[in-house]
Amino acid sequence: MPPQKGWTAVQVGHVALAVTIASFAPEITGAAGVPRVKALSVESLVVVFLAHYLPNFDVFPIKLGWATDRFHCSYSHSLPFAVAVAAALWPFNPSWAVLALVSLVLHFVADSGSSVGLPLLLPFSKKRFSLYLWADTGHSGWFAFKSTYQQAWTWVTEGGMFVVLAARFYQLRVWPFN
Amino acid sequence: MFDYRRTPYLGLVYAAAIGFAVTYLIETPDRPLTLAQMAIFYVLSYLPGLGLAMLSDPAPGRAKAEYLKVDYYAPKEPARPAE
Repeated sequence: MPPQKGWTAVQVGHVALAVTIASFAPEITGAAGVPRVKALSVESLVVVFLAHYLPNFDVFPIKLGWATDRFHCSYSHSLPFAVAVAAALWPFNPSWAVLALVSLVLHFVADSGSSVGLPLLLPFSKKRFSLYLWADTGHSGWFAFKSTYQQAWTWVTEGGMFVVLAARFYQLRVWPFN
Repeated sequence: MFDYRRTPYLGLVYAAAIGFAVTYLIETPDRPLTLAQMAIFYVLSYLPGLGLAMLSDPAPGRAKAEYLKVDYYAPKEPARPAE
């Protein structure tokens, strides 16, 4: 089994998805009835990026030797975790809570094609959900990165996300579509 | 990465279709896309276009099947002491 060395992030499509979510910040916060956050503002980008990448921060305890590789895609990839994060943020800033909830849930949607499967109901159920569009080859490292993009559906889904992001840039008149 | 030489070229065909569809759907009459902006859409469309082309190529499917056989999260075996 190839070593999962290095910090190479897998799935660059998460970047495009996070920026796209931040581009919808006014619509998301408006629909939830909380104070609106401006599209692609520093606030929306910081909150969305932190929340969207939060589930993958489970790699840090693994890299530090505090947890085994199996810790990846476990508790941080469950719906109760997303609700808990949103609930923790709500008293401080309801808009951030709503943006974080949407970012976390869409992280799970983006990961749903991976064969590793998401334990969405953890800790209530260990059942893992997956669409099995591509084979998971580890949480980090060059091998995981390279092998992910040897498979078709990662190009379809993640590449498609960059096209959607470009469309949003056009709609919002963001460079180079201003 | 590919078994068929046609796969990257087939990706171009899919990219053209995706790029055309997306620009047709989002472009508004008061803000026509410039040639450079349209090129950005067509270049980006190559990413999912290539993925769609890869679906009809055996190599990516074979790679997926091989990777599915391995549990990349299995606990590592402790190193054997040197004798």
